[in-house]
Amino acid sequence: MTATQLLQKQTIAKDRALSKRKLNKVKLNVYLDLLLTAVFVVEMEEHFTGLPLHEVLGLLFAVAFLLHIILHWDWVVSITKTFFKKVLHESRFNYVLNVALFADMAFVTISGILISRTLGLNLALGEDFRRTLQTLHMVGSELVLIIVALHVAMHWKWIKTNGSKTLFGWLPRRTARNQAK
Amino acid sequence: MAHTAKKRSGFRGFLILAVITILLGGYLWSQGDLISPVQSTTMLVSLSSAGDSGFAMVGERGAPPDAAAAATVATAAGASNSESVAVEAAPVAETVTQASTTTTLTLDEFIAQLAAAGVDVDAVSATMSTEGRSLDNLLAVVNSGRTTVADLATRLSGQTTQIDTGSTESTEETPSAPAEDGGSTSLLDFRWEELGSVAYNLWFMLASTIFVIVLGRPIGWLINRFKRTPAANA
Repeated sequence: MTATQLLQKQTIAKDRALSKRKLNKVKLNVYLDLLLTAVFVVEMEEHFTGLPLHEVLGLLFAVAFLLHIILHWDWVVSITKTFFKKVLHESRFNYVLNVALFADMAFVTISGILISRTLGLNLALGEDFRRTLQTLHMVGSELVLIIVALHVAMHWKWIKTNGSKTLFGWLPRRTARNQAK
Repeated sequence: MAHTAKKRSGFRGFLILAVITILLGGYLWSQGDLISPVQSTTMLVSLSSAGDSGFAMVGERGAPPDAAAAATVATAAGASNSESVAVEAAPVAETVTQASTTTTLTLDEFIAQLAAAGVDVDAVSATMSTEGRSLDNLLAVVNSGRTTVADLATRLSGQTTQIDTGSTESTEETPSAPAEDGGSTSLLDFRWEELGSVAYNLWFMLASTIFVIVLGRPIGWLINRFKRTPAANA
């Protein structure tokens, strides 16, 4: 085997490993996003879950949310660096939306922890302050719903493509079936 | 050719999404769970704390009433000054009853009506705060329709209508088991009748997606046009 052939073989193996890792990352993203969506829609309805589960789910959601950001950290860094180079771009709108979502989510999480009644923190907050925080927590979470809905809408193409590949990839493709015919 | 197939597939996906959204929307509408964001925000602004059972959206259909708060009424009533009950409490209370059956009260209105009915609001509030509760809890009970301000006022001031008729104070408004109204502290205690609200959140996301897809086309076209114009002029 010549040196060129060996190099080619090595390159192909490297590419395959890279694409496999990428695929795994996409899969991880899809499953994590599914989990986030499910937890989010349930978490939003404290009437449905009851307060103890609402607070536990809130913490779980905060962790999953941070993981979601870490998985997309490259995108965050790249857009932050080049934000003003191409202001009129879809990714810039996404960026602004995501910053707003992060800020709102952080506020809702922190306020939720502060007014928590079942996590065992029992922080000594003034009655008026607690009431105000509670109202802001609720209004903030309604705003989160709107921003998350927009976030999902802005990434619909990605969700459709990768969601169908990951979740329904085992189904035989129509084009493949047509070709077989 | 591939581009056309991709476009067709995208359109098919959009149609499926639209059909699912319309069907889910129709179902939620028939169940009364489809409320506008404006309506929901209005309810949120006048929301109340519901003790250990959590928040209670005021006026929401099927919202769990505040049993814990109702249970504290009896305690608070004992602490309030019965001498502070005004003679004209009864007529005021009647007016309040009519008002409270048709509208959702804010905390200020609630306090004002209690005060008008002769209740020592400060004393009641102080007693409740020692139990870790507030007047918000009572407001939640009133707004949930379980009781009226008039009834609450008479009970808080120790002058129940039952006394006039010679009977003892009824306890039917104060269920003893908190779990009955969702006040359970167990972790997995779902209220399945509230599942519609969860579905509403999902529906809202789908509807927003359709809205953005539909709105995205003309906006994208405008941006492209805006981008091309300076290049063409140059």
